[in-house]
Amino acid sequence: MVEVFAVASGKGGTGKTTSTVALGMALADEYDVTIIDADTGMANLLFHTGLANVEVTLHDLLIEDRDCSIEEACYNRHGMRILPCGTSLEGFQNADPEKLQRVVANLATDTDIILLDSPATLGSKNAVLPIVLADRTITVLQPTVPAVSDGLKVREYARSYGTGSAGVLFNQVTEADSLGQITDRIREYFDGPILGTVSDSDAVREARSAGRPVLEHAPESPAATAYRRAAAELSPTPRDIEAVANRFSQAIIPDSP
Amino acid sequence: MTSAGNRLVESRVVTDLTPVLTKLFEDELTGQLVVEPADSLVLESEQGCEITLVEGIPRAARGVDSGRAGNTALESVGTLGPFHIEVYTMDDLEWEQSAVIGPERPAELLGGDTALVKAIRETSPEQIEDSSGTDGLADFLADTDRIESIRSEARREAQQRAAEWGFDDVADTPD
Repeated sequence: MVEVFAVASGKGGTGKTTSTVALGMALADEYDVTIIDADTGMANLLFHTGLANVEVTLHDLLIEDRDCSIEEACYNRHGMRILPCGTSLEGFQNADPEKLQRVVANLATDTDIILLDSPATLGSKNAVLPIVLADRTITVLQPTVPAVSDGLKVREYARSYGTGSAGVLFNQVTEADSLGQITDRIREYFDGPILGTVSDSDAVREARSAGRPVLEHAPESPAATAYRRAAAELSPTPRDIEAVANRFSQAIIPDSP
Repeated sequence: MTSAGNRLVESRVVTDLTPVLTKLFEDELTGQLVVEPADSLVLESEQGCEITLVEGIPRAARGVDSGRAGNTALESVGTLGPFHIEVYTMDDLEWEQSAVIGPERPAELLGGDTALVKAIRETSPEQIEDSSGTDGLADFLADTDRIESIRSEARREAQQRAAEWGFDDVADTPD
């Protein structure tokens, strides 16, 4: 089985990558998990997972003349298979988005769950592609008007492209925030449950500074606990490999002119 | 967005948008900044964006030709210059709810300048206050007209771009 989730937000700085890694680690207790940095323009998964110095990344798989296998670009860390993306401008400019689709389809053949760390923008087809490829979105929101407004746009794009909703993960929540008054509307507008509420905390910031996942750096912290609970709420749905392949084949992108 | 009393005060090509945004902020300009990647003038792309400012604070954005609104219009510009810019002062400004942007978003998305982002945040407390905190968020979510405006605009964009990018097979057919 495989289910593909796009971890998305529409606004930068909401903690998508931190959440992708944390949810992936929590799910990896039960499932075979692959996480992919699909933000080919502003990659940072490698900095969160201790892979900052690796030479082969997703960029190498998306560039036409690189002779590189998917296995070479994937790294087994923190109980998961991780496909980081490089940060070079050359890699970004030469990356062919159509190849991302093939990479995801290939990895889908031997994993239970794929998490796509998605770009914080809807400004290009590269940025929107993870939402098209995913079965469901996990929308990461700070409880602010700009974050929710941008998240609504992402959710509406996803709905338009037939991608379901796994729900909302509130992140970087402060003590002053009172979420009780907004949860009903959020569930309604985002077509799904509130998966969890992760507080703004020193544990998350320290883990980020150390380049380590929060579930490894501070496994007993409230943030780590909140991520584990959120992962338990996801209830991955077994999907037939052929159905997934069919979905990818529908999302065909024409060659660039 | 509609406008009256427009006056073109600057038109040039720049490689970096941060100094442009910083100057408009410092000059407290009320008007519009029109940004287009220089390539797009030749290639007829739809990357141009009009950013509406009130006293130097960005309030709204709309695509010049694309019809995109809000952050999506900003993001379409991209970060790779050079850019052709035009600055207009305007006496009267209006914009649609779907075009509203966080005041710091142009500096974040187009300039990448954290000092300017911080300065804008500190100088526009009424917008920041309005857009932060769960009381403000509860009011926002209760404004069903505003929410529907954002959602319908996003649906329209998604459908339009599905055709543009070859996602037709997965996209909903427009009503």
